[in-house]
Amino acid sequence: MTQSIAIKIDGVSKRYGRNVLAVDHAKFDIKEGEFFTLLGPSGCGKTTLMRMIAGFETLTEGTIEICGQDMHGVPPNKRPVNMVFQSYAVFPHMTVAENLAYGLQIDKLGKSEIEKRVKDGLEMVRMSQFSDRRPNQLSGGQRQRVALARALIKRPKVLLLDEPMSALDAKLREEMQVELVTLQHEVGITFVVVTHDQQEALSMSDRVAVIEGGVVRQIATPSELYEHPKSKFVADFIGKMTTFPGKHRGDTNAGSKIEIPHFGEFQCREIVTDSPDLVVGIRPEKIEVRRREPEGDVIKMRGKVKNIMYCGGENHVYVDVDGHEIVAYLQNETRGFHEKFQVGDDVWSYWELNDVVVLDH
Amino acid sequence: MRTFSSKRIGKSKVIEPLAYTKRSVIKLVIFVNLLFLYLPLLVLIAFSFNDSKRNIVWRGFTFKYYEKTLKNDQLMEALTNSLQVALLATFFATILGTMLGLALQRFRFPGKGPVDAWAHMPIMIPEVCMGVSLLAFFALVKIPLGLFTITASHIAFCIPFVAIVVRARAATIDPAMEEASYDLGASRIMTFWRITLPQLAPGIIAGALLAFTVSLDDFVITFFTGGPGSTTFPIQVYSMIKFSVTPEINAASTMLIVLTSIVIAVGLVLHAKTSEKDSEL
Ligand SMILES: Nc1ncnc2c1ncn2[C@@H]1O[C@H](COP(=O)(O)OP(=O)(O)OP(=O)(O)O)[C@@H](O)[C@H]1O
Ligand SMILES: [Mg+2]
Repeated sequence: MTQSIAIKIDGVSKRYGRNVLAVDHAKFDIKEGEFFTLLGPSGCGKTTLMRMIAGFETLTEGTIEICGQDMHGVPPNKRPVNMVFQSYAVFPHMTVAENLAYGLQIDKLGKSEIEKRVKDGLEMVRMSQFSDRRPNQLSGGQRQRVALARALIKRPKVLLLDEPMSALDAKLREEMQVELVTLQHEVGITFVVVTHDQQEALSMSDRVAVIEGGVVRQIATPSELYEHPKSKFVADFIGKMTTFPGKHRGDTNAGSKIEIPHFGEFQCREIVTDSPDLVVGIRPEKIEVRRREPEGDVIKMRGKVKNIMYCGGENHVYVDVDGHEIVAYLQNETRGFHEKFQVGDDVWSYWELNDVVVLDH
Repeated sequence: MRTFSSKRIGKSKVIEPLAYTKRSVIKLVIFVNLLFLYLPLLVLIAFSFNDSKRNIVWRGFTFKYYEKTLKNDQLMEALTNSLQVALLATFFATILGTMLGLALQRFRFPGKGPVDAWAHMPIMIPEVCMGVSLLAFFALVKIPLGLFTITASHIAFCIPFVAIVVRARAATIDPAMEEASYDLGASRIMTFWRITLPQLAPGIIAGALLAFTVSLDDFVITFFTGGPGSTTFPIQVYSMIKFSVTPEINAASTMLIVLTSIVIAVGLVLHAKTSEKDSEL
């Protein structure tokens, strides 16, 4: 069964004044029940895109459909979506319970129905004991839960969240990430989340759209994004990656031949047909480092250890290869299967052919 | 935590920013200041109970000047006029000033700059000029001078006071509040009544208080725009004082002080009530 589409974004652009193109021809679908994340650096247009879905910004170009309905000219209060604001926007002159009831009162629901839904909503975010508090008596995390419950008990088709974790400290953020995912599974509502934190995007989402300068660069599942980024930007933005300039040297049945100047040639799995100039990348945890020259069908490079950073569970080893920096993450095992290195050691770094990623420039 | 003063050695203690009032020199300065401000008022109130025709020596306690004041029809009429003008002016200036303040804070519209500058003119230009120009205006459009013209003028110069306070208050409200309200399904009007107005309330009340007191004791503009039969309290007192400062005037002034104090106290209680709910997040 194919999932139906919750939000259809079709050729959407947003221009502020003459010069600022905040969103540039965005075109993608968000499926029903999906946890979808808009990821990108500051100023790339994530908020703008989300505000266009919510109806707070007009489109310069294109159309947005929500559940099959064109949203052109539909004001925010008539759209089947609700938003959790970055500042939470919990009404300060109302108690927690009044905040939750507000949206339901506007829908003119019956008194008992409102009471019941407010009670359920408070339970859902585990805030029942705070129902009579005022927002200024709550912590940031608690206020966020109020905002979340207030939007969810309206039972929208889609819930939009603008940087929901940015005001929380690291520990609470991780807790809320887990909670948010659990909650989404419970209620089954489509979530669209804006974030600039790649870790957050990878851990929570079903699919992620990576945006750069208003342009959607890649839309994929977290593992697909990490393992097979399409461009250097995506590869760099999500995790770390050592990259080399590469040259396309013709195709065979098995794939393309690619040369890394000064280091040799290798066979790529896929056929790369685009430009002759490419970028070859390799994730740091796929790289091995050792003193003896490795044998077998691997790509290997000789270099000197430049720096070692102790990071608890793993060591980040920086190896200098003819001016190129290679980063390897080595497991930190006290039993010592790995050799111990020191800065200045001559080492080989190597990796499997399969682990190489070929990127667009 | 490291503070600058931790480097100091010896007697001088670290003083918190708000603890300066604990120093005796500063206490003295504050005391002298307050004395300077309030001593004349205290003298005035005290002598309104003085059983003597002149305000020089204390001759014993009496209420008789209060009786006299209450029986003085001219003074009572002036007082009623003043209160009537002040209440009406406050009412209208608060509504219009709130609208102006909100518009200036929230919206960009063609000609906003001039409107902004124009709106604050009444505070900046000398009252005499405003009085003269209003007088000229009323003469031009042939409106007879009286309570109506006084009230209209008071509304005009009270609006900016309200607008400034409301505007400052509006600037502290997160615009996402209103957006959240639309997002939850409310119309613009509903959002104004249930979200914007309650959060503006402390500003509106403060603005109204300001308008009320400014209107109540205005002399210059009232003097220019008033006519026969529309004497207000300050003007009446002034004309009485030209002959002599009688304890009667003291009594009347004391009553006015008490009255305004009550109004302001009520206002402040309301202000505290509306603003305590959302003291900074
Ligand atoms: N009202 C506006 N007028 C002019 N330019 C704007 C306006 N709002 C946003 N922009 C510009 O549009 C671009 C995208 O802004 P947007 O707020 O969508 O970024 P963002 O991805 O949400 O960034 P952040 O992570 O910092 O919140 C930015 O360059 C910003 O300066
Ligand atoms: Mg943003």
